[in-house]
Amino acid sequence: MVIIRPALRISGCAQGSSELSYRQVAARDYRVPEGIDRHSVNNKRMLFTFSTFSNGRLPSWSWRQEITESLHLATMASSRSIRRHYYYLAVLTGLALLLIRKVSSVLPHFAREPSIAERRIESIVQTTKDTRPTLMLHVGPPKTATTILQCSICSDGPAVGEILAVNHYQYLGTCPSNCSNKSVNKNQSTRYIRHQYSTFFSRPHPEEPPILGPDFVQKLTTARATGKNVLLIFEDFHRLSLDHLKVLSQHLRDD
Amino acid sequence: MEIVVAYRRLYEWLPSKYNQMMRPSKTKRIAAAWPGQSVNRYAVGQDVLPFDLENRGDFTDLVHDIETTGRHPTDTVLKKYQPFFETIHVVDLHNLEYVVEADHGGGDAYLQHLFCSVLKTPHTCGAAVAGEIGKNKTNSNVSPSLDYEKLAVHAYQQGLLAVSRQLVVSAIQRRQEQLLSLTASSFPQQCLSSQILDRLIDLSVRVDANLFGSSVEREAQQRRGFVKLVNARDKYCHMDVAKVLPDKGWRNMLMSLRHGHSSQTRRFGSQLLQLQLETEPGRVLPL
Repeated sequence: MVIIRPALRISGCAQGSSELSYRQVAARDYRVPEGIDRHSVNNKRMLFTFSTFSNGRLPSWSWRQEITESLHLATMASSRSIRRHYYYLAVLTGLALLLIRKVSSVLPHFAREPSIAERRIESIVQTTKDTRPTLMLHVGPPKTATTILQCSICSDGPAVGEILAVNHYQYLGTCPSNCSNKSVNKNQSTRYIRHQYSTFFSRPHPEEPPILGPDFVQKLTTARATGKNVLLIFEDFHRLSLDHLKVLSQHLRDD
Repeated sequence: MEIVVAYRRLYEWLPSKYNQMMRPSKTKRIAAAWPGQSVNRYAVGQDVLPFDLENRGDFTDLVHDIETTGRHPTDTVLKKYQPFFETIHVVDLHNLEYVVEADHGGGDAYLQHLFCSVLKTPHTCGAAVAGEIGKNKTNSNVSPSLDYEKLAVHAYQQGLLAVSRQLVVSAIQRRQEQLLSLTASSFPQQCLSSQILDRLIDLSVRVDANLFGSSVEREAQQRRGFVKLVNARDKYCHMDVAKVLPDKGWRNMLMSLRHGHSSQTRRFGSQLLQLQLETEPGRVLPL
């Protein structure tokens, strides 16, 4: 899978949104040159980001396409002043592209070879089509580093969630309360499914088969409606009875 | 939908499982009182025994079950899920596919394997390789050493103590780790017999072969790993109480916790421990 990203992109995120997280995600795929990475326009912030393609080389780009995209952004802008700035940026984009194109051939910085780690990542994740499952469920069993795994994902704050989101995954949980010395804060605990059996199943009558918990079903449905693949880690699932497994597999097949 | 099931070699999994079953917790209050004393209407304090395969109640039942079926717990989960789900990944924690080794600055191997090879998420994989995911993690699920419990119970059985069990265990731990800057494994050790060790590795090899298929290479790899663990004198050894308790320092410290009652116990014990920490080493308190 070759990750195609534009050579130069002007991306905007409204002030007040998680600019830091956005920059972290962007910086993973785009080189953000010091000094010109951010441009403040009234109450909007713009992010100039340069791509390093998956092969690590600056490719030949279609500057027309880039400028067209900026002009498109301008037409989408809500206020006149913002629109004007997008037009300026479109012009700037064209000029910057031309400049970079000229200098990239002489600057080894832009033509670096991918590292061994980057090559390996590329070869491992390479697939001809998106075969990722709708739901990836990690079921333990206990004492197989499941808690470490959960805590690694859920105690690092929103950053991991956002990186996963770039890959169309959503981590639903669970998040054990004892993940670190500081207990997981309230925002995070509501973000994820609670670390207990009753979140996933209930059994209204002892003689009847179990049913899926409404919170679980709702979170799953929302994630899938937004085109997200779901990652769920809950080691207590290793104890599920055949009845529970039947209900779970049936629901996922029907959904 | 796909399922991920993790696999850890049985000779590592069993001691870990045993510690989890034995470790005191809010719900399992066997260590909330001295052996024989009632904790509440439903629970009675119990002795904490070191890891072994026999005479360990529910844990021994689990071992016998594995011996009878020849199935690793991971295998059991796998067989249970197989009729309902088509794709099940068994992640062997001893053969993880990582991009950059931790020794060379790479992140956690399990995270690398999960995000790169199983989930195939390029960005998250990159973050896992760079060690950006999991940097704040703490291994909160690691069971504490049972040796402190063991020393406390032994001292109690010798009539050295009358204060609460939790106070004593905490005082022992603080002395060992804070005052002496040692760990539970620094105590004189007593290890499992070679018969038990042989039984453990043979069972581990058998269940591994049942799950992954018989392989000379896998078996050799497994036996090498086991020898390393045995030589580390950690998982299969426990404190030799008979050697620790006669030690003057420990005896004094435990004697200092001899008195105290109910609500005053905690404050009393803390003050005594503080005194002990200040007067160590060499001061012998009167019996």
